[in-house]
Amino acid sequence: MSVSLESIFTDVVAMIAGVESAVTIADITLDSDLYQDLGIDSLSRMDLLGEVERHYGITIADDDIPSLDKVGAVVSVVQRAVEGRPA
Amino acid sequence: MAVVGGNLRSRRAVSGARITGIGAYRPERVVTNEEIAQHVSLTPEWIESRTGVVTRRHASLGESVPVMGAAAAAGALAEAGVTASEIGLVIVATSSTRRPIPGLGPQTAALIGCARAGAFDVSAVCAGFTYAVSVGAEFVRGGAALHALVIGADRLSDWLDPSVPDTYAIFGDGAGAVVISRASAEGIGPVVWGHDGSRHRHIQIQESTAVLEMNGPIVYKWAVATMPDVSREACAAAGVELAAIDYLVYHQANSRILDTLAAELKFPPERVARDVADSGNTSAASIPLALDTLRANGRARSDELVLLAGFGAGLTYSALVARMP
Repeated sequence: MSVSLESIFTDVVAMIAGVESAVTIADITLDSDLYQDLGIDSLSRMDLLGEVERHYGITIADDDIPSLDKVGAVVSVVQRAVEGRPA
Repeated sequence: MAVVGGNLRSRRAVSGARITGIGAYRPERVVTNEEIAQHVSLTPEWIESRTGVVTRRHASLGESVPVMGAAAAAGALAEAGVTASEIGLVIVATSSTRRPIPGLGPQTAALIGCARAGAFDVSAVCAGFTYAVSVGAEFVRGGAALHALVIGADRLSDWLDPSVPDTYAIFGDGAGAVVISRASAEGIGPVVWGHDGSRHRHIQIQESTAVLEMNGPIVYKWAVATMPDVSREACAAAGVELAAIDYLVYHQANSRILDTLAAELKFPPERVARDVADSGNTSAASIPLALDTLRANGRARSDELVLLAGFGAGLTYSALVARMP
């Protein structure tokens, strides 16, 4: 199964807005840092990752979580998980 | 008369069990965020906004786990109208022993004056109290004890250090207790429990440092993913709707986790017990302390239903529905 990077990005942006209402959606890029650029705190980041897991039916490994500090990293981990899943 | 190869005599459940008394003990010394901030690179405002903790108590040398536990037990016994000599079982949920041997249950039972009780510890950290309540209730139902004392008592300040600000800022000391008594009508629902022991490293005291460490965000993610279903299952097991629960009494890990769990369950936030601002995270003591605070505020009256749910290091959790005494 494959899902385009663009559609994952769009979904992740919507989920970011869901956990941090103060963000401006138009400002979010793949390179945006969740903490420094978007003002998301460590627990809101977990809310986001939990939402991502539920939305895509995936499990993000605990060991992967520290590296998921940018929007692009979150999108990539979703893409890898979805592609690795049987269709 | 022993019968070789025959069945041993067993106790069948002879009754229901219910909580008949609640007691609490908070150490004398109040530690403010300003005091914490003097030792770590965090501001008082940051600590309060991120954790919800405003004050916590730190036990003095004389406020040992058995001393605090016995003080909390005295209040529970008084409410239950039960004397120490009538207690058949004392369970102390604690994880803050300085040494692995001896356990603290017998010392605590001796201080209370429970001369004829079985006594042991339950070590399930922040889930310890609810585990111990379920164990105590089973022994009462089975007839092993007419009354059981279940105590949650921790002084994790012994295992805190400013070098680990995450735990230094959050944890506090205290004790809470309940008496569980035989009852004709069931007042304690079935326990729902489980664990994710593969994540044991996320809350631990390493031998090399002897300081409590916690990967807070990972634990938060696990708890908010796990506890809503556990809460619903505990209600279903007890045969009540979540909406019929008068108060959710979760382990007081931090205010954020309480907010998220309430939102996830669509449960009115004003009916979620909150003691974390005043007491911090007191591990096994947090649930009975939160019950005590609810009642001090005129809430959680007799016969109202509470969902008690503990979760934390292990990682492990347990939850059950109970009726207030």
